Amino acid sequence: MRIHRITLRNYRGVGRSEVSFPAQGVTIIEGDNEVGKTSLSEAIDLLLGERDDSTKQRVRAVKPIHKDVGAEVEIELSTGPYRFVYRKRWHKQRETLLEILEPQRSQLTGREAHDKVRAILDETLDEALWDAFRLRQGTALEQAAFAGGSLGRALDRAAGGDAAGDREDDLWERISAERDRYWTATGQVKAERTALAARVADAATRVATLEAELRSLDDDAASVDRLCDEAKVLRDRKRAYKKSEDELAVQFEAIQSRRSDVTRLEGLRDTALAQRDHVLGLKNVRADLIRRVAGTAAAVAAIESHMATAVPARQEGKAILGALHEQLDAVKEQAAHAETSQRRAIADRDFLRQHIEVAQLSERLARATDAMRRRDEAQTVLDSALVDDALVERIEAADIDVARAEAAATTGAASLAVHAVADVELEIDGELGALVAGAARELMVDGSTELCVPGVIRLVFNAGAEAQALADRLAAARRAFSALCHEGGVADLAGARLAATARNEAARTLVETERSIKDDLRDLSVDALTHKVSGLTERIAQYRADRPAEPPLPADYRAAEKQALCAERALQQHREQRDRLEKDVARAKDELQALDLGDASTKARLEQARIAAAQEQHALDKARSETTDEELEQNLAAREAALTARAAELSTVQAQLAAQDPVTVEELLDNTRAAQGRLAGELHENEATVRDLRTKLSLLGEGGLANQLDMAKSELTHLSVSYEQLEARAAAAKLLYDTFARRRTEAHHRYVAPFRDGIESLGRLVFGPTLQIDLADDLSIKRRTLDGVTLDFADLSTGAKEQLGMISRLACASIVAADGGAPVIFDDALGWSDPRKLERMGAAISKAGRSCQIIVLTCTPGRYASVGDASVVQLAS
Amino acid sequence: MIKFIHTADWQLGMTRHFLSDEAQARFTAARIEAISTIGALAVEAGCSFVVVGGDVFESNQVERRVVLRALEAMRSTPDVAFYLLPGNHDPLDAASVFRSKTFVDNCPANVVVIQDCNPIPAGDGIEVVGAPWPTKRPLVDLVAGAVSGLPADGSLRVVVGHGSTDTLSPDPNDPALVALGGLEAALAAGSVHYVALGDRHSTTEVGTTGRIWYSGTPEPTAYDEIDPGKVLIVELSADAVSVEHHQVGTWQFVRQDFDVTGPEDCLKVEHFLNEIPDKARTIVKLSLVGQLSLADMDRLETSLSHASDLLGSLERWERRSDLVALPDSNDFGTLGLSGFAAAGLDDLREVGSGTGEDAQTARDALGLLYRLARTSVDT
Repeated sequence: MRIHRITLRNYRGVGRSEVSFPAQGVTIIEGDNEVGKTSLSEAIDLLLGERDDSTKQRVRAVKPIHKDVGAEVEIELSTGPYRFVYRKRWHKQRETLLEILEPQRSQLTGREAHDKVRAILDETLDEALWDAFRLRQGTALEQAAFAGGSLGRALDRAAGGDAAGDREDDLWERISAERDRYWTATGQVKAERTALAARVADAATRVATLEAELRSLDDDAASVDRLCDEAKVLRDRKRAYKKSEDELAVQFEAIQSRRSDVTRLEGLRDTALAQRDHVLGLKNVRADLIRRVAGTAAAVAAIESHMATAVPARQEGKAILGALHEQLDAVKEQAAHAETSQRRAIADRDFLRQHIEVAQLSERLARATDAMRRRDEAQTVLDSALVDDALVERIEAADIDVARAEAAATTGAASLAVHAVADVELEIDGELGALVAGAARELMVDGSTELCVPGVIRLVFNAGAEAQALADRLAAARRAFSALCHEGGVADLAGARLAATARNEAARTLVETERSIKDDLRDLSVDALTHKVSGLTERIAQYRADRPAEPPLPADYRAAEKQALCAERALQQHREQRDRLEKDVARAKDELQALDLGDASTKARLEQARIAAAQEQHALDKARSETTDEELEQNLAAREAALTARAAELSTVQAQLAAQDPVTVEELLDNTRAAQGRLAGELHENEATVRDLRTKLSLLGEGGLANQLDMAKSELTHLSVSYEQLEARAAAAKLLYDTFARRRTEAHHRYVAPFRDGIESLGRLVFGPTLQIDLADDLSIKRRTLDGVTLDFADLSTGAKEQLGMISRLACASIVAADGGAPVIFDDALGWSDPRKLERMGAAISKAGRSCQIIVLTCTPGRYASVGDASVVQLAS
Repeated sequence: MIKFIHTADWQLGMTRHFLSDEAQARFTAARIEAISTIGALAVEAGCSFVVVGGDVFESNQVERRVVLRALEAMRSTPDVAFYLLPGNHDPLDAASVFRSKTFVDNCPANVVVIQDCNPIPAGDGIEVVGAPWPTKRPLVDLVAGAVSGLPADGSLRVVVGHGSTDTLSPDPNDPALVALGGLEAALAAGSVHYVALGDRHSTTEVGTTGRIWYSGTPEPTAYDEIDPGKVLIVELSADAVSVEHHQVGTWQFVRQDFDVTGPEDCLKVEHFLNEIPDKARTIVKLSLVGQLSLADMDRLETSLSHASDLLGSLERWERRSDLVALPDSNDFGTLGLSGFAAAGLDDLREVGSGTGEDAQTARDALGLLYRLARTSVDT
């Protein structure tokens, strides 16, 4: 749509005002509110929207003040293929006039004209877009209401697409609603569908259950039939067993009767046996009696015979005892003799041994006494000896020292050689000597030496200092030597060595004598030994005195010892002989005594035996008087015969019984009975089972299971069909929704990009080259990015919001202008923008104006001075 | 000369899954009512008894009230004896419904359960000889067993049996097949005079004697039954037999196949459905194969839904892929979708023109879109 001209007459305070607009570009209308600046915008709405007879407040409000005329608005505009002039007058002389210029000239008035304009606008104008493009002061803060798709469609169309309309949007809503019937917002299957699926499953389960129950019923019915057949078989078999039982019972009865015969005959046989045994017992008693009579008689005879042999034996025993006594006495005497001899031999032997002993002891005593003496001497030497080996060594060292000092003094000291030319007396250091002619004497001059020929001359020699020292050292060595000799109590070294040797000798002697004393004395002291010797000597003398002369003392100890041994042996022999005889005597005594005793008891036994024999004989006689032996024998023979007869009878009947095979018959009979019992049990069980099954069947049979199953199957079929249909509908709804959603998104993307490009291209004039924006699905600006900083639209400054709101409208208008579009009308917008931004906005508006019609209304002259390419119209009052 | 009714395969208690609860109730009631109808027919036609050739009940485990209602229905004609034969559905096993407390306690005097093969006197010189099924799977020809040893002693005998004859069975190894030769021999020998069979739900004569029949079920139970809904009124003497078919069934099963490729075919289907008489007791199975535009499909579904409300049951016998709804240019042309909606529509049409599960889902999505877009336009 393009507005070419607007004329107001008697509109509010405006008398007449007319503004013409170029088809493209920016027209700025400046003027006070009072002069109708805003009225222009309002007037367009009234003209297009309100009939001339409207009494609405907004219509009444535009009635001119102080004038009794109607307000009038006339617009010339083109939209789509149409161009027309449209005029309305309200309040007074109401009028509506439409003059269509293109494409076909025509003129309409009144209601017809109004309706025609509405129809044209409906056909050609996107009302929502038209509404969005008109910006009143402040409303630019809000984003254009592009929701509902009018902008989208416009953009879509502009982008060359086949635009969808309200119908498509409506259809889309229906498609979404249809989908929502089956699917949740997150694409899950809705509860109604799962519920139906569950019902299908339940129905299937119920069918399966009922089928199983029916099958089980059929099985039970079949089981009953089978069990009844089995029962028949069981009964037949039971009957067969009963028949064999009856037959066997007859046989068994016969066997039982034969068995009682056997029992009876056994009784008879047992009686006969008992009778025979009784007679046999009597016979045995008789035989026993006879045996006892014979036995007692024999006993009497034996005793009597024994007594006859007993008397000579005693006499012999007495004789033996006497002889033994005699032998014993003789042996005793011999033994006493031997004992005496033995004692003497031992005494002799001991005497001779003591003799030897005294000699030995005396010798040991003498040796010990001597050793003690020598020991004491050695001890004396030791006690007095002053020189030991160590002292000798020291004296030797001192001696060597003296020798060395002498040698030194000799070589170092002045020496004086005196050669006697004639014999001469000399006094050297006060010591008078003589020297024969030709002799010489050498003197050492140490210290001072005085040589005097008495009466003649006195020569004094004094040694030098060195010689003096040597002489002193020698003197010291000699003093030391002398001191040591004095300590050892010896004159010189040789003496010392002698003294040391003597001391060592004494020490050895001491050791030796001690050992000798110990060896000889052993554990005795000298006194004890001495006492022992004297004691023994005394006893020897005593024995010698006491002993008789005969027999003579053996020659020596060895002989005595031999004699003692012989005597001992003889004594022993005698004693043994004596003991043997004593035992023999005792035994003989015992034997004799026993013979005496036996004699007495035999007599008593004989008496008893005789009494017993008489008793037995009496008993036998008595028994025989009652029954003779012959009678007894005859009786026994008769009983034996009877027994044999009975046994034969019994074995005959027993053989007959065995022939009847009682064991087999009995086993068979038991078996038939057991089998019948078992069959009865099986039958019972069979009948119980059948009874139970019949009860169960009759109970279930009343339940109408077949009908229930049929109904369940019907329900399952119906539900399955419903479910399949439901699922098919759900799938169809989803497919429809998905397909349309995809296409819708595609369309959306097609026009979103050019729109955003348009906004950014204009917006960069205002905000600079880094501007980026994000659009929401409803085409509103979601975010702005500037110099890398991104802000949500709501967080932008008021000025920025206003500017972006205008820019988005300008961008949209530029895009849709080619397709008709609508003019953009700004009513004193940009009140929030600072001068710098205003200037830049001016550039943006100017740029947009190159492709679309822009009308700017302002009461602030200069606010839009920066819009470069604009026609400015001053509204005069 | 005697006159009796031969029927079989009442299948009382049968349920059909394709029936709604309401239709099932009527279906069940109709089977009970058939008993009363048979009783009344017997009285009216002067029949002295009714033989039921097995499968009186759908199962031994039928509902108690089915048993009670059946007995009650038979009680209403006390002068007509009903000889009930246990068949393969309700064998005389331990679970037999005929021995259930409900049955035994409520069995009226005119109802006789054939429990063994012993001849049952059914009037002067007349005997009913039955071959009841003792189990679900007998291993012998039960009817042959019942017939063997019957003397040709002048008694007029009606044999009641159940099961397929060897001439009709597809399974020659089934040991329980009824041997036709033996029956014909017995008929020829004069020991037996009519054989009333059950098991086939279609009324069928067997052999050439004119005395061996399957009566069929009095109320149809399935689509594949030929000429069901009949009972046979038999007039019998040693020399002559006449068998009259009598319709008692009130329900019908109908199956129809259609190829649908355009609006004319839809009209044909509509017409077919409209022309069905007695809709409430008709069970229809439609097989629809072809491809329709969304608009045509919409219309067809509407008419099917309408018919479904009227009919006892309307079954669709088709896989989802047998009848394909594929949008043509008209379907969405009038909607004039543009923008993303037009693109989405094109996507779905492309996928939907293929085959397989995804294509089917895409076609469903298109159908949905059609519905949503159309209501959108309507508002």
